[in-house]
Amino acid sequence: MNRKIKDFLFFKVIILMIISLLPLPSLAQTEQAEKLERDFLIYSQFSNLVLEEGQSVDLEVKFINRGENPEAITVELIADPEAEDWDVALHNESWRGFKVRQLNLLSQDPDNSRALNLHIEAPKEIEEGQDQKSYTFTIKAKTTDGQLTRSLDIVVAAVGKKEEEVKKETDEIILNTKYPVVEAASGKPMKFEIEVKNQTDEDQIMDFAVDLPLGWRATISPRYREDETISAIKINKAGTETIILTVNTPFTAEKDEYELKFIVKAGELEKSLDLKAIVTGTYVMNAGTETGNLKLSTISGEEKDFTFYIWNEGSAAIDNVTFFSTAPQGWEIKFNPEKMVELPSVVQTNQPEKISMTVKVPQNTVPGDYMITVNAAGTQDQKKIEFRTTVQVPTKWGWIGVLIILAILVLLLSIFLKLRRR
Amino acid sequence: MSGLSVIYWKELADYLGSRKFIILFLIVTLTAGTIIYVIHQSVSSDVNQFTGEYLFLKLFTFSAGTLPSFIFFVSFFGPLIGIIFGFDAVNSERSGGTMSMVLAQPIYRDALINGKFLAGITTIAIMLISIIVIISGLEMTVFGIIPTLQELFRIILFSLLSIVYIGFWMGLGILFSILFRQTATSALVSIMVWIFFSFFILMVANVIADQMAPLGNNASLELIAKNEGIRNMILRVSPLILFQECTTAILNPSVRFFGVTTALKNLEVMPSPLSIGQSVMVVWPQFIILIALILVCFAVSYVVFMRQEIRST
Repeated sequence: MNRKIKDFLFFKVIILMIISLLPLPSLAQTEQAEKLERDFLIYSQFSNLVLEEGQSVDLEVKFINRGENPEAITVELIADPEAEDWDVALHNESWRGFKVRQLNLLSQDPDNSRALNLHIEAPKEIEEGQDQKSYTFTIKAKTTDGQLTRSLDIVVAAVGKKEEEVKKETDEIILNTKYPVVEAASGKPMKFEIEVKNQTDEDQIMDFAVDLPLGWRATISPRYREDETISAIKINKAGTETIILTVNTPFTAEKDEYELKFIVKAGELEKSLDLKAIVTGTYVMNAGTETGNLKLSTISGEEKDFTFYIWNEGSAAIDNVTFFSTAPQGWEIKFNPEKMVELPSVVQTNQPEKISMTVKVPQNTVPGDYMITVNAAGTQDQKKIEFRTTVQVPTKWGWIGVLIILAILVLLLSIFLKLRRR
Repeated sequence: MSGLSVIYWKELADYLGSRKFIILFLIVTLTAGTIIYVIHQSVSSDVNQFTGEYLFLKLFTFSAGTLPSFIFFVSFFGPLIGIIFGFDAVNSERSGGTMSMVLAQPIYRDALINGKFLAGITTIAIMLISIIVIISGLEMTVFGIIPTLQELFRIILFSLLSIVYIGFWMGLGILFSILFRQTATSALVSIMVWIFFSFFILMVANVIADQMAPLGNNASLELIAKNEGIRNMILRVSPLILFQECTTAILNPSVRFFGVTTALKNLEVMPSPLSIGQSVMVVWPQFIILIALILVCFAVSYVVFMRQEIRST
């Protein structure tokens, strides 16, 4: 008997141990089970929001009955006392539904939960200093008998909108261009023909704006009347107008591709069009002398130096500039420097390049005017200048002639002196 | 120098008063007038051939149809005038016996020859300048062209050159009149020299040039140039050719070379007129030779005359 009792006790202890080992969940379960008699939850997926001014949101707020008995719950929304201009309401789920003050939940699924919409609309304009301020909206729920009370805080911060985002791009204005990429030399105008379509239901006055790189200028003119400049145009509803956007690149614009933006605004509506301008370099070789005088003067048989200048009036450098000349037969013309690897734009250098030219006229050249054609040729451009060269006879022969005459006169004089007075 | 001025004025009076001067002057004036008239005629019929720069000078170099230009006229007949004035300057006085009478006065021998020479030059100068002035005046009235300053200088230069040229022939005449006792001889010799340098030299030059550089039917340009070069070189022995080249260059500013040789080499030159200095430089050698010729001619005459024996036979 004792032994039996002992065994029983031992058994009991083990069982108790087992029970005490399993237990916490099961124990909790028992507690829960106890509470499940009367319990409900308020649940929302989001409880801390950021809204922009004027933005509204509908939050789903779920009320779940977790008790065994049906519950009648009164719902109350307590707005932040500082949130004056806010529009807050608790509706049933359907769009723009009715306000709800009480809801009844059964104990069995699916009727044990009900979702309500918490509509929060931020004020249209947020005052200065109110930016980023948080407001708390509390949903208070309690059972009709007042035994159970639950609450949920939704924190909403309001921020001011950014200006660009105010005017959203609209599809009601259509901008179209056939040639969105235009290529031109710097300093030369580029023309974009843009079609503006008004697809709204009313006539619109469209203002134009152009986003340009620094130093560029743009004018907008009606088609076929390009001497006029406009900054706005009225387009009838469902109408289309074509305008010409003329972009003037500065002379100093470097060879590159540039992004331009053409923007049309009509009240709240805004539409932009991306354009591309490709600036090519210009190459304009020019040459001249200091005085602009293209007349040279030299003496036959002699070597003489002349100076002329070349410069690049374009925007990009001209490569491999060499000089060659056409002159009468037997003439020797040399240049210093003989060639130039690169002739940068005069816009950059601010001064022309000095070239000295040595002209050697052969002996016994008949006096008169001759043409020397000098050609300065680079890879991209060339320039021809013609010098009218006056060749004169060296005066040394003249002096020899005078000497001969003088010698004869001296001879004559000596004869006079010797033979006179007889 | 009293002797020189006495002789000079006496000779000048003799020359200007002589019938031969009046006749020559009339002939020359008439010829000049005719030239102007003919030019006027041809210009009236075709104005286009008479336009451009240096119109005034063109009238001197213009040859209308059958009549030669004024330059040609001076170069050919100028020598004749010079010879006529010079051929009997000394030997006629000698044969007339006046020489010894003059030299019996207190007059030096060199004064005699110098005076004769200077008086001859002066006469020629008066004659030539008056003709040129007459022609210029006629031009101005007939055509209404007024010379520019440069044209004026060129005309003055042309006059001086003509005086030197004719003066040379006169000097040659005086030299022959000193060398030969007979006036007829000196006249003939002078005329012969003139004919030789005016006409025969052309034939001689052609013959020699053709001998040295014969031209076939299809001669190369170089050969033609060589032939031409030789011909020109020989021709330049003649004072007449030298004078023609000189005056052509001076009266025609666009002339800058003579002969084919240089012409071939300088096709690139622009046909622009030269300045007067450059024009002179073009013909500077010819210029010098002409001046040297008259001086040498005078010097030889002087030496020969001073060494001659004067007898009162």
